[in-house]
Amino acid sequence: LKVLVLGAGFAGVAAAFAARRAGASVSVVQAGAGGSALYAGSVDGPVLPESGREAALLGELAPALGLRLNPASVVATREGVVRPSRGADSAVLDLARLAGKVIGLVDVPRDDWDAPLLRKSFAESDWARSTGTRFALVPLELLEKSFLRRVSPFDFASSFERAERPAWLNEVLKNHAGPDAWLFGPWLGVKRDLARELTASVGVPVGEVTSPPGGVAGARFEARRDALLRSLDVDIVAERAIAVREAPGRIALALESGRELTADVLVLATGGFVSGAVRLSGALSGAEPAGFELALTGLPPIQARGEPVRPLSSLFGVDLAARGRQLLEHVGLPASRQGEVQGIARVFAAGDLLGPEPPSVGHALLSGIAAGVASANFSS
Amino acid sequence: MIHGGPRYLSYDPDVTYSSCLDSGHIQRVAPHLLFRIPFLMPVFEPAGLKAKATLAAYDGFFTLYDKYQPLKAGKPHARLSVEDVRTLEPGLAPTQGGVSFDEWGIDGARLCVANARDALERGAEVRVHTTVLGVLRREDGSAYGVRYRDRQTGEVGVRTARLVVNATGAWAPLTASLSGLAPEAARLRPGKGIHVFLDRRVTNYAIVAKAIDGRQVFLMPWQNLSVLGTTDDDYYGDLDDVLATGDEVRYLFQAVERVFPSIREARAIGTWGGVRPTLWGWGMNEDRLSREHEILDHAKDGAAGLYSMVGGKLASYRLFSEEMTDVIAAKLGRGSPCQSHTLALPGGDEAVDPMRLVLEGGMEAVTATRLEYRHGSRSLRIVERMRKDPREAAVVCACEPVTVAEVRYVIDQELATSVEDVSRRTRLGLGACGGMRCAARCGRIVADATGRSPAQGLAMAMRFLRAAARRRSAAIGAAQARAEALALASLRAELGAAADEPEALPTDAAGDDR
Repeated sequence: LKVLVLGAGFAGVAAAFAARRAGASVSVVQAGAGGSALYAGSVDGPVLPESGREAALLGELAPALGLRLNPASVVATREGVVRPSRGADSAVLDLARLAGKVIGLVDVPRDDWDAPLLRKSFAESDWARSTGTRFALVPLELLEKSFLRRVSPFDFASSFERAERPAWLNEVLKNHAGPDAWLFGPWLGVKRDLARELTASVGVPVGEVTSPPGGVAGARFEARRDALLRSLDVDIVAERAIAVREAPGRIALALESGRELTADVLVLATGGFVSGAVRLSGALSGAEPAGFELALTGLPPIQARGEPVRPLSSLFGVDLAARGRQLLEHVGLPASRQGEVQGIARVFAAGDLLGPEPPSVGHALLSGIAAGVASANFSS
Repeated sequence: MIHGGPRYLSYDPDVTYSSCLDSGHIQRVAPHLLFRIPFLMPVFEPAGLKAKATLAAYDGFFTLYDKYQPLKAGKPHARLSVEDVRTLEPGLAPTQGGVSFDEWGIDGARLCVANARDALERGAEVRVHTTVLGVLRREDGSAYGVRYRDRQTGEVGVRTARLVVNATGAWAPLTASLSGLAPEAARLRPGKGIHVFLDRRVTNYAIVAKAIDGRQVFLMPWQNLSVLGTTDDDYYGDLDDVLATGDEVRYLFQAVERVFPSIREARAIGTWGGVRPTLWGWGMNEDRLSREHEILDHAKDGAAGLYSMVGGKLASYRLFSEEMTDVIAAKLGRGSPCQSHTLALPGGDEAVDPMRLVLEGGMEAVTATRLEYRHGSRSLRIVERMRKDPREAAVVCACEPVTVAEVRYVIDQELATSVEDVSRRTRLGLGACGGMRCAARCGRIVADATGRSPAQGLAMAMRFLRAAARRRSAAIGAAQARAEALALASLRAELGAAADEPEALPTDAAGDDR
């Protein structure tokens, strides 16, 4: 059975992984960065699979993507918030295990890191007060050159991966005995897992806060995703798809180049609004006043909050001022629980493209696995 | 804009004269806040005699306006050929030529703050976030002060004075009625106007376009952005909750699209709505209402010592206040010749080279240029903060950009007490990302500087973000929708539960912190 997966974010890679494990031959079509590359490094949303089989797949997939799942984890964000989470990038410090301890907050005079006020914000959080956890400000001379104060987090994170820098960082932390854990900004490497290396060598947990959108966590996801797809022996097509076409006993995907791919089943994991797979039309764009549209043609009509998008009563499309911009997160394709899209045969959907659930990494992983398993077992 | 008002030339030339004259005065007292906006008025009629006649008429009209330009250091108009217009603004629909003329842009919020700061330094008491509950009146009806409520602390207080001036703009009739006067005592015909902001400058010239009802609207470069505006509609709604609506936004895009066809591809990142305190008039459409201003002496209503300032426009704000001050001085039996047209406002006394700020403060050149624009010579005081603590040179809002030092300065010196306040004074959070990357950090700084908790700082940031999102909603097009969805997702990730409160705002939450 041949499964075509469109999109290589969390949902797409989960679908490809699950379909491959279920014995299907898999091709992944992807072009450019999507919503997953913008994720913050935390796993939110549902993470409890419906079946043991799906749980086993998730248990294998998550570490391969550098994710540590723990429904009771607690993360610190770059905005000074301590909040519950269902898991995170393995470089993100899990505070749940550090309740009551002293956490060393690294103070570096970088433009994007206001450590003194962050410390205050973490220390006065409900979580820190109720658990008696303390945050200590520890100034570290980590800026090798003064320009590193302003470079992007990617460049700063990369600067710690070079040659002698990891060993040097290890020495710096060892020379500052005291904290029960170290909390960094999102700078602990892009390609290397410096958090894990340092945790092992320093002897106390070393990790990061979550990233801002479009930060280092997304770059790490992409690196690990590429490695995983290579190991899965899937065919990767780096091209943009433009249309879906039903063919006798097959499903076809038309690419921008004019090429057409066919398969037994297609899994759509294109993401939603953030990825550009769902667009607002009409309001100011001058296009037809439909309201919402899919970038990909040939699919059933889109729904909003699980209901059909009603014909609009003006010529100008959706008025978000009246209907709420949250609507943007709830627009997508109607599908069954396994992700089978209603209104077209041999097409499954996963992730943000499924409208009713708000976008989250947990939902992308679970719906991706479900769609991958279901598509590999598809029979018409 | 400090508009010279050529529109009024044909039926209200006094308004044009006083606007141009005072535009020159504002330039003298706050030179840092003004930037030139060259205007282009294209002729769109089909080629032929009629087009030639229109161009000749424009040419003649602006020859007349040229007489007023020297008052405000404006350049004379130019008659432009078809090729000239195509070269200057290639994005315009095909024209039959046009004329260009000169106007001045300004950040009105900065002008307002500069005046407040000036008053403070000359011994005035300035209270922000304060609502007048009523004017205190003696048995004979004369006014002797106000009762007020501090909207942040809830504290109610009394301030006495020999005279009371009601300069509350569109709220003037409400304030009058809180003083026990009939609302007609300070009657206005409030006119709502909105602007739409685009994420960048899409033209070099301000383009004059005609809306479906024949009104003139503009697409103009303004600071780092482009602005579409404005509308003028009678307003009967809540003055504390003035919001641009989708149909107003569409009215503007429809008008501009006819002259600048690609405008719908531009990305709208926000709207701004306000209400003009236009003088009362019955039976004419909004555009024809007088832009003159008046001082009302409420002695005629039995309230001696109480005055209302009604009408007017930004370009003549100084002249209006000069006239009011003359009345007060005469009443109090003291005074000296007016100096508000010659004495610099804070920051306007001396030009500062932004490169000096770069070297002394350790900022990027663009940061220094924007800082100097907003603060003039006072930017040196902000740089002084950076020299004392180099970490204050860190950029909080990258779109504008705004540094930590500037945020702390406007809290210390310009009466800012909330994220919304900082934003109005610095344009923090009003760029393409909608405050997604700076609001929470700004909230932490404001909370720290005003002795509030980090949680209160975060709540303040959320209030700002919700209000900004609400202002954007009416203008969201295809491009901004993606950014909007990303902003929602990132707020949820970074702020956790704080981000999940409902988006609908109570009426006065945008400016208040209780």
